[in-house]
Amino acid sequence: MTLLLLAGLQTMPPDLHSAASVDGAGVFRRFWHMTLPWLRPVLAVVTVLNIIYGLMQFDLVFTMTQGGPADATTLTSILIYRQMFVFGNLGVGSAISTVLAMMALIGGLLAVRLIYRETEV
Amino acid sequence: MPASLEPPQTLQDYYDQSKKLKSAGIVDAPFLGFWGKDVLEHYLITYLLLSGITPFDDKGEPVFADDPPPRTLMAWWQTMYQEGLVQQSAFTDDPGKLISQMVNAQGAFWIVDHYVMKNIVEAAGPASAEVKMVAPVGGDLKTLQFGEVIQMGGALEGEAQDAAWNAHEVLRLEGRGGRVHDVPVSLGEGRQPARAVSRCLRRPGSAGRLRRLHGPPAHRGGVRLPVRTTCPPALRRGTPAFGTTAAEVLQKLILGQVEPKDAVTPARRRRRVGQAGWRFVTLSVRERANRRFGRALTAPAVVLVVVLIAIPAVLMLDQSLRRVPANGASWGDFIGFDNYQVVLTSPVMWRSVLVTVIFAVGFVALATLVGLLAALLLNERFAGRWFVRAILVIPWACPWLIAGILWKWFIDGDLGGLNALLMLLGIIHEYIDFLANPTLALIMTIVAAAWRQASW
Repeated sequence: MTLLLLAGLQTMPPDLHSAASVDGAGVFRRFWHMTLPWLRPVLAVVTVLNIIYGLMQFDLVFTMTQGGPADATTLTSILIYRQMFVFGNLGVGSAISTVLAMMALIGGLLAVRLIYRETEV
Repeated sequence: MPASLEPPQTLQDYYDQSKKLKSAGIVDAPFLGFWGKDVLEHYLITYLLLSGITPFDDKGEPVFADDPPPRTLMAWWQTMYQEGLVQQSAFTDDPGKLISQMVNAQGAFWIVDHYVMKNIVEAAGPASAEVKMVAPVGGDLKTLQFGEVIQMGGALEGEAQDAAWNAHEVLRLEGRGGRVHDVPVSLGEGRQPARAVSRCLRRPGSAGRLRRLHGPPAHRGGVRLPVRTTCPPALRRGTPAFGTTAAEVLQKLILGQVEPKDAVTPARRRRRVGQAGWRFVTLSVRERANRRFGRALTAPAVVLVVVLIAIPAVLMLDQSLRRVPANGASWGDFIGFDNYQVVLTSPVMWRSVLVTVIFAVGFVALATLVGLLAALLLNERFAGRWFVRAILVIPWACPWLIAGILWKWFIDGDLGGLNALLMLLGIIHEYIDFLANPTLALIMTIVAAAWRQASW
């Protein structure tokens, strides 16, 4: 987030902020009405990607917990791994994968919708 | 301006009087245009506002394209430029040169943005009455000569003076390359505006400010100016890209390469913020070429995606509809949606979906929050910023797998650093095995993942 948001912040024309401070807008109002809307496209992309990363996460959680304790961290991706490569249920594993892909798709689309809901600032 | 000339009231007046001044040989280019790309589009909006036309409706749609006045305005620009009433270097001149010409009476008119105008009017100080206001071009918005702006900056006191100077900064009338700070040197003697400038410069704060704005960075961290004024929303929407494209067409227009009626066409509604606005038809040929080039550039990536992602995805979809033997001996029999029935009715599956959703939501929220805060912080100036920015990338450069191992050790229940730290701070009194507790384990994986991703 930081790197991309920082890049986004740096494309912000400085006069935008001077114009707002001329208007008497305080720090929080400038953040809310200018910085945030300006970052919205970046935030949208990054959030969608992060939702997908989150839903598809495997390596980190698997190395930390292997899905335990008591399946408390058994993500769907870990379930897929178990079904396919531990139990050998390739068909079932593929079906779970499809469901997970659908989840990621829906999650991403929902995020795009939410973030672009207002078209104008 | 010779006394026989009345202040111009309309664009026609500007034309007529410029014509008179030029033919009388008083000034060569009476109307000082500052038509660089970054301000030209701004001026169009201003002119539209001055003509009583609202350029955009509430939703950001341009609403002036079919009005006759914009065509008149554009035709006026063309005429002024092509008849030499505006200096031919209007596209490239720097503001410093223009101000210098203005105050030395080498030009008669310069329309400033009504935003600046409004600032100056609102800043009304004790000497404001002495400032001669040039009459409005239309509507109730007034316009001023630039020299008068400077004069006013000198005549005002304290905050009001600061406001006048600030107005310049906001519009960037003294831009980048234009070194306005040599202007007062050539102004030293004589004219009213010139005296005003030097008076203004004698005031320590203003002088420092002017130097900081235009000159070498002699004064850092100077005064912060309190100013209360309003910026019309229409003027806020200009983005660099928007201004430049619009200005390209406007410059073509002024040069007579495009007809006014062809220059502007209403845009289709665009969804993205910062891109609302108009579209210029004349760009469409170039735009088509751009798109062709874009397709050629993306082709290799498309091939990779198809081979590495699309084809395996299709194969996997197919596999999900079969009973595949565990040893992979055959492709498997087609069994329809049986696998899906198993999956969707399995409590284990739904539990994992719940865990995944909790994980994803927590991860996104935490990573976004931390990332946003860090970005805002690192956008501020402070000593050692480059260093912080550099080390910031480390978590991101760390593969997920390594981040997992790292955190597993860090929160280890027997010799983990986190436990030691919490003990030291007196928050806990005995070591906790974070990964043995179901709730803590999930939280810790979320924290670890967010740590890895927040810096991205």
